[in-house]
Amino acid sequence: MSAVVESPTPAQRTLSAPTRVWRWFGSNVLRLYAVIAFAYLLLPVVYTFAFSFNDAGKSNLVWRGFTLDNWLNPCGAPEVCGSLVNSLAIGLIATAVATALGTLIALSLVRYRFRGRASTNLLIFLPMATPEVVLGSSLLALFLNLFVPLGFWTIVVAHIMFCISFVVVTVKARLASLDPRLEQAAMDLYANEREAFRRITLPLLAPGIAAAALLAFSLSFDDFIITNFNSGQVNTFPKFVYVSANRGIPPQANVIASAMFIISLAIVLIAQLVGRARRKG
Amino acid sequence: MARSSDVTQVDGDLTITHLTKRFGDFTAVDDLDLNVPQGSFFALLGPSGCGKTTTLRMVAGLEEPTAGSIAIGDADITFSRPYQRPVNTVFQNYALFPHLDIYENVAFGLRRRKDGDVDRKVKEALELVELQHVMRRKPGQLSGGQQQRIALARAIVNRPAVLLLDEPLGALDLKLRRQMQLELKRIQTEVGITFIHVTHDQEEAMTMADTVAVMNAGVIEQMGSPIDLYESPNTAFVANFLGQSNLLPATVTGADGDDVLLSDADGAFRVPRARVAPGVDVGTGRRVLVGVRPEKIHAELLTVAGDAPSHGNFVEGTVASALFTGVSTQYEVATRGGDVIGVFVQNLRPGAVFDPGTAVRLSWDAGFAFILDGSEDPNAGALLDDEAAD
Amino acid sequence: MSIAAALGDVQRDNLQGSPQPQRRGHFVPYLLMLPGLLWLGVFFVVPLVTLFMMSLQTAVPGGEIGEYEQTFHFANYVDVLTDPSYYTPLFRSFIYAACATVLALLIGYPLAYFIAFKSGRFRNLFLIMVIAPFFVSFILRTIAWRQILADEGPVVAAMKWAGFFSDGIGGIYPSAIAVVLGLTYNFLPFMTLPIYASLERVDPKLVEAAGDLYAPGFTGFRKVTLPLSMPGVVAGTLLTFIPATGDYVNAALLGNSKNTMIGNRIDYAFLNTNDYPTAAVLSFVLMACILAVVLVYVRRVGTEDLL
Repeated sequence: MSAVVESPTPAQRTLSAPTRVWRWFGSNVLRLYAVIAFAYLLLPVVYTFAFSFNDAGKSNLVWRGFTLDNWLNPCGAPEVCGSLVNSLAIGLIATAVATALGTLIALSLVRYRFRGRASTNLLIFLPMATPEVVLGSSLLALFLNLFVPLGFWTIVVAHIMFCISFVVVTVKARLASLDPRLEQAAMDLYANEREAFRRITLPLLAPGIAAAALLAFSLSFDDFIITNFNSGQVNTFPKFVYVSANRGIPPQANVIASAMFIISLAIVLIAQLVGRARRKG
Repeated sequence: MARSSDVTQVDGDLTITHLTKRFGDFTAVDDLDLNVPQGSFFALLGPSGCGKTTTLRMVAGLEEPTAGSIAIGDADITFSRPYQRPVNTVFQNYALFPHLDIYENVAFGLRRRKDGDVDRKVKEALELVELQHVMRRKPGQLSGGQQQRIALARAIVNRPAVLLLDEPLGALDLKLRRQMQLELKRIQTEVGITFIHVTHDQEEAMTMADTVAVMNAGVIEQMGSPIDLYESPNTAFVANFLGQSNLLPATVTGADGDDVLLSDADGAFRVPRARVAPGVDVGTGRRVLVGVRPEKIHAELLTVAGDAPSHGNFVEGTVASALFTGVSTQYEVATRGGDVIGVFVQNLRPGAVFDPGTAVRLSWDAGFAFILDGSEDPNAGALLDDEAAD
Repeated sequence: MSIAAALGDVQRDNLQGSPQPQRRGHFVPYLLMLPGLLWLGVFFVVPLVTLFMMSLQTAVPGGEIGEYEQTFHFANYVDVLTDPSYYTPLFRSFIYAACATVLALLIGYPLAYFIAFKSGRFRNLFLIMVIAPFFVSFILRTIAWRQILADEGPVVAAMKWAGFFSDGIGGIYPSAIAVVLGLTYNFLPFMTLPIYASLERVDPKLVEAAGDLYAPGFTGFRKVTLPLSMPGVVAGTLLTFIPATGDYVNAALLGNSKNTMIGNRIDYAFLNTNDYPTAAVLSFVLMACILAVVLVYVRRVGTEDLL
């Protein structure tokens, strides 16, 4: 965390003006800049958290005083918990299916050479590069054409669709960094294909699959645009918040969001600590 | 794959017949024939890209041959799956399973084969490599040398008919490599398993193996004991790849009893007929290469011109460069005829080094020279980058 | 762990490639991929085709609202593109997204540089701080901005105190500035993480070598670090620009009717007026425009292999 170390390079005597500015910038301004950037990133988080304690009347826009009531009674506002349960259920189902389907695609893409690999990669990439509004509206067009009633299951279908690509990419990265010789060594040591996969590849892949599942869940849980197109009358948590934005969001929504924030942060921190402990042995 | 092809219990010589592997247009291994007797320490030596690793992978079952067959004893294993052959491999980067501890790494093969005596065998194998104390550690916590031994123990514990070692010492530093060479040799003698050792390091091959096969461009150039290969190379590639050689173009001028007589711009030589590489025509007028190892050459100060040794094998020249290496001094001598000859002179007496520019006479015993085909490139195998092992 | 981290991996994967051992059984990969690709086919590709067909439909004469028939009426595209109530939001979307992308780059690059080279042993903590906003629902975060930028909020109060606003003259929310700020905010981690990922792989020894070769400080950055981090910059700008263009939540929550983006129009046409052909045309035009901008940009930057 110290300032730039002044190493005696041959060029030191003839430091140009931009270089001197650069060094000063590097040691001082950059740190200040980082502080401001982090403030920008975290200010709304702090706001959301703080307003979960607001003794809000009808609308939670202005600070009216501290209370713990919202935290003690998170389901106090109508529909907050109902939409949360919907979001959790959709998230869990979409995560399970997308993780399974995406992992299988990643395995094929990394471990096999086959005709159509390039087009498969393109098909995986495209949903990530398509604006959500197009993904959502095109899926709605399909459902309208087929007279599929919109609701819980159309949301699940949509979420699985946009999560698959992210799972593929995450698992693929982990798989690509796995040494193929490990599986060869297992087969050399009398493990057949199935055993080699189960005893070597799968355990080594597990952290990547877990990361992909977490990513899929957080994408699904936080999705609004695609959900909004395909949800019909069903409410999810983001949709509930968006819809109630104009008539006032109940502070209980902030409680739910803050609790989710704390849980997610705890998961990440624990994963970090476990990883560090494991590395130290 | 049918159970009948499971031949993990067989024993015997490894026989490779007409083995060929092509990747697209590139022929990595070209019609290879090889017999490795049971219990021998065999080295497959060659520069990177010569096909030695591909050969090894085909024996291990990790690569499917384009043509030919591989057998151990009477059992054909050409198309058996890797887990159905009595063959185990020590991988180049060891390929230890990072999520399993050392004990479970070594026990892996035994457990897959449902061996009833896992614990005793694992401990014995760890004892053999003197690493019983790291049993419960993870591979990442071991040094390179230790990982190397564990990889060896993990393969040997299965008592395969053939153990394959793919550049097993490549990642170790020089000192550790020397130590492991002795260790590997000791373990091989102790367990009596056939070892096939693939390497690009000629010193490693020569110090450990009973038999060395020198491979180049997909074919075996020459095979034999390290001494045979070194003293009587059959091709320019072998002469240069194993140690160094001076290969001088010369013309056969006739025969004298058991000797072949030759001459080049520097004068006349003789080489015993027994030292002519197989298949080389030494009829009068033929162009050949005369080979002499640098350490076989005697160099002396040229005091009186014309005071030549009676056996006739000598040239005169001036020292172009001298490189003091401790044990010896390596000279490059420019001959009058226009050749450059390398000479290694042992440092018997301190301070007796010829400076560049000194006029010297080089001579050698006729029995130490050898004759190769004159159509070969005298530099074949000499300028290869043997650092880029593959 | 996060979207952008995963996308950082896309980039890594595409740049380095991976060893691909050959396997037997030609049908195995297809079998493994079948369910996933089928899903993408049925719920991604088929819907795009359906949407395209829908963009060529016209209202059934005398039918109810929302009743359309397939007439391959390509003039729909002309009608929509010549209507200022559609092309203005489209144009606005690209302007807002471009501003947000530039702003995110200006904030994200130094931040990524700081984390990669100056954060010492707190590096992981800072990285978690970058992705931490993702853990709060993005709609709530956007609404938090509404509170922060509101007339009675702290930003306006501070600016009034500093004399930027005299009483009674405008605020920040709702305005174009608020929308761009919101877009920048929401996609900043997508910009920062890929840049960090590519900076992290810049060997500090290279910069030292540049110093050794008489390219100290700024020149070293310009000639060594910056070019090596370009793949991250390209990935980050695309990850910001593409979703920002199609976003309508920020415009809806932080802007007013003068800040409508194309996403709002699509949403409105689809869900409020049931004008499906117009919504479909807008979606396709949006996609085509994004594709064109991205292609030009990627070609200009010269990293086509990224896609």
